[in-house]
Amino acid sequence: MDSLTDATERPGTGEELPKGMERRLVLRLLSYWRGLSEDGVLPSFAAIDPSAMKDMWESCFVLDAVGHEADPVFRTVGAAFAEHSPIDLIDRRVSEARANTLVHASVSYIHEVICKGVPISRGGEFYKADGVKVLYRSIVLPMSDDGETISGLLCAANCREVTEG
Amino acid sequence: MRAFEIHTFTGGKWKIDSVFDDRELAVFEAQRIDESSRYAGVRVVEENFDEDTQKTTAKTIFRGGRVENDANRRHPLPPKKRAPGTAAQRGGAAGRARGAKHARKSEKSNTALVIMLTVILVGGLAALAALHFLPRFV
Repeated sequence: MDSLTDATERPGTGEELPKGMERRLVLRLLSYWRGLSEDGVLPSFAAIDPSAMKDMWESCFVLDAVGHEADPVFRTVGAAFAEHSPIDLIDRRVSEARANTLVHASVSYIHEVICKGVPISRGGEFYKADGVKVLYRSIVLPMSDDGETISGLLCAANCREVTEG
Repeated sequence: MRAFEIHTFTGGKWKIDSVFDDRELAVFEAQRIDESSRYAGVRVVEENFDEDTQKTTAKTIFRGGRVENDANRRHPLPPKKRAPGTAAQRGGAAGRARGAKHARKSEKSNTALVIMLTVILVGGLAALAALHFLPRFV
């Protein structure tokens, strides 16, 4: 997979990252998640502070798995990520994600995360309905209310379109 | 299908930490974990699933931390084949000492050979002289 550009890694922020800060969204979010996870205990949603992760939050979305393990529900969707969906995602199930979209690609492996209980990052490419090729990178992180049982997923993704000549 | 699993050594056992589909990302993250010294060991295992044979092969592509380094010390790589030449030529104090000893031993055996050949030669000459002069006295 081609590398995503620096600009693509910060959709919606319009700001330069501090010097020395990790450029890749998925690694920044993983680092934040690790900071919340003590001694291998899964972090809870209550520990997340969107104001402390402004550079990432717009590209994030949260899935609720309690009572919806087989088909989690979108509870929070960042503005930059929402732009990639033709429908409002709030309170919709992941099975409703339209094919050939960043949303669909990003939720395609959530069951592996629920099964393994560890963060998984995937990237790749897909073609939008209009035939434009899109490169993407995503990450899904397990969250828990009791530190053990997965109650939801913190996810993030970004992408860029590729003009094929 | 290919996956890169980061494993961390904690509580006396290896545990899956995270999974990537990109080698560079996985190794970069493993190095970051290693530098944090949070775990006794960290490694990246590449898993390849062959859909034709339905078999998965795995190999470790990154090792970091104390556990992996200790394991490497306990099971060092086999010694390399020695270069041709004497121990002295290969260098090293022990090699040089072994070389000098070998040279002294070789010198001793040469001297013994020369003495033995001289004795045989003198003995032979004495025998010839005896055969030549003995009939005159008989």
